[in-house]
Amino acid sequence: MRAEVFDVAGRHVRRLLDGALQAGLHQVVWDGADQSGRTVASGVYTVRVESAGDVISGKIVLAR
Amino acid sequence: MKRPSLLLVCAAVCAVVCAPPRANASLRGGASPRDSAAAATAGSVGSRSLRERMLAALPPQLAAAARARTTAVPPRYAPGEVLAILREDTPLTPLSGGTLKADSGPVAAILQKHGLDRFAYLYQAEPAKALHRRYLELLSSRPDFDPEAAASELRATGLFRAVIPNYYVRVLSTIPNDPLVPQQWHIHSPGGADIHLPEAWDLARGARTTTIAIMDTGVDYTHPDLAATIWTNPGEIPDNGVDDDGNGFIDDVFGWDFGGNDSVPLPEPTIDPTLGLDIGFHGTHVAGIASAVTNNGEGGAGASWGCSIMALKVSDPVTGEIPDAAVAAAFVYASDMHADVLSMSFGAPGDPGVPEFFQTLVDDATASGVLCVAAAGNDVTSTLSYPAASNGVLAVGATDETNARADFSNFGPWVDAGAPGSQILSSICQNYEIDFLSQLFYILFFGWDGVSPYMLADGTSMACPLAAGVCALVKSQVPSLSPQQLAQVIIDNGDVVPYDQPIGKKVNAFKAVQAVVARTGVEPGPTPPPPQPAGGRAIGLVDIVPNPSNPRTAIRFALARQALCVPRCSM
Repeated sequence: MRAEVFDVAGRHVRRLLDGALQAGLHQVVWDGADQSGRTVASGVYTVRVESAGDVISGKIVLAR
Repeated sequence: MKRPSLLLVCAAVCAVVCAPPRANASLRGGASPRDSAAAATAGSVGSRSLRERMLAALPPQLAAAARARTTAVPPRYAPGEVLAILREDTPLTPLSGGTLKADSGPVAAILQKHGLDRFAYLYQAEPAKALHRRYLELLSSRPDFDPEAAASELRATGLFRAVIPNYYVRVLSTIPNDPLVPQQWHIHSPGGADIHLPEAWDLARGARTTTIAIMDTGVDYTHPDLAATIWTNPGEIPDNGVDDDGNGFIDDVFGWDFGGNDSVPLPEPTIDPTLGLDIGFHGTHVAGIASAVTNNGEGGAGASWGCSIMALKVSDPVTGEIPDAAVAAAFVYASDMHADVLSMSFGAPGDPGVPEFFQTLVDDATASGVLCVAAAGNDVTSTLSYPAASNGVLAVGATDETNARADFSNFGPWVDAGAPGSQILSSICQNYEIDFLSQLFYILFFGWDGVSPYMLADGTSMACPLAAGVCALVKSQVPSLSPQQLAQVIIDNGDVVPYDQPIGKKVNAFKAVQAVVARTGVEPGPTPPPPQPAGGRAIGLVDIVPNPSNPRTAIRFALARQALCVPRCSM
């Protein structure tokens, strides 16, 4: 399964998770940085979580 | 020396719980185990005196063997290096290949004078933030290198955030105390010396998603009363030799061993160079106090009830020391992996540069959302101990069964809160090879139980994770609390107790939880079972908290069944 963050233009910002997980409740945390560790700008971002062919997404408002 | 079997190992350490009174009587004549905990911290004349008193009670051959492996004057820091945290404008550039480039000026002159021509990153993971790229180990090629002089001169330039020798810190409790029938009075005591955890648990129980990082001698994550609460890195696949989550650490599933630089933060036999006894169990004891699996019919209860334990091992099994270099790297890991609370049951005096060094680590961790909690020390003094005395750290002193300040606890206005730290029953490591001499010591002085993986211990080392567990319990109810706000909840809702010396208010878990439940309207009751995705879907979004966010946000989701790796696509 995989969890990733994208900006409003659909550009990939950060991969949060890429691996196997057991069934149950899980949490990933985004620290507001991109894949290279740079702090990203304030704005609206989308987190996309994909597993077993199913995809969910949610909006994150980053306000610095 | 012949190694004991695993069963004997376990039994030897467990012996401390069930020691017959006669066995302790001889020790009490000279010093209490509390004193020995303090001695382990102080590393001073007093501690050597204690050591001699302890060794004097041993048969001559055993005493000689113990003396042979203790260090008369333990080294205070690692040779050949200093630790430096650069400012953005420090005129010093680490180059690829491990060499240093310094602009002309005082820094360059000092580096040249002391032969400081190479470096290593304190936090070697890739990718690392620019902030943490300025955490450096500066290495000297001079055989006569003087770390204290070099650090002092570099600090005096005013061009660094902090510079210190790579000092060793000491765990603040090692030797268990008198034999009592196992009981956790700190959780519930008819006399009111406890911190009212059952009442707090009536209102709230800790969430698995709240993480307590235990920076110590390792945690036995196979222990039956800990395994279910050990933090697991969601982005790491165990034992595949790949850094799956790209955080710079391969197979860091349960944390990291910064003392041995590997992915297995399990306890290892670790001989304290001051006492000559094994202290490897310390981290597992601390972890159990904070978050042993609770209500599982096994062992004891942990303060947080169910929060996750991240294992950050910082002890070096070869030297028995805890170098500040390992501590600094573990600080960064705890921040990067989003621990909520960092529990540190160790400390050291404020040698030159040490206050600034720990303040820098604490400031950066706090800015990342981590509340640092630290033991105040066991030296019966008001002298500052670090990291506890750093601003932003919740410094915890110890109380005893009579609701008094524990007679070993440090004190002073810099101590923020008191919590039980005397005769605390908790878990100890299993499947652990304790050395023959330490076994004999426990057998001779504390009796022998043979089966129980639990024991009693004294120290602010025990008070610290108890307070940290309460912090995690509170944080579970309001994840958006900042470290400062969280610490203030604990301080504001403590009980005023007329101690003989100031150690702040005594932690009251019930009042602390009640305060945030009342503020947020969180409904009381047990933690609900994990939600299931709706509509037969494989995955469901639970929440994104906080949102809006700054600087970080947690995305929680539920999986209906085990999820495997998604084939990689190009990105």
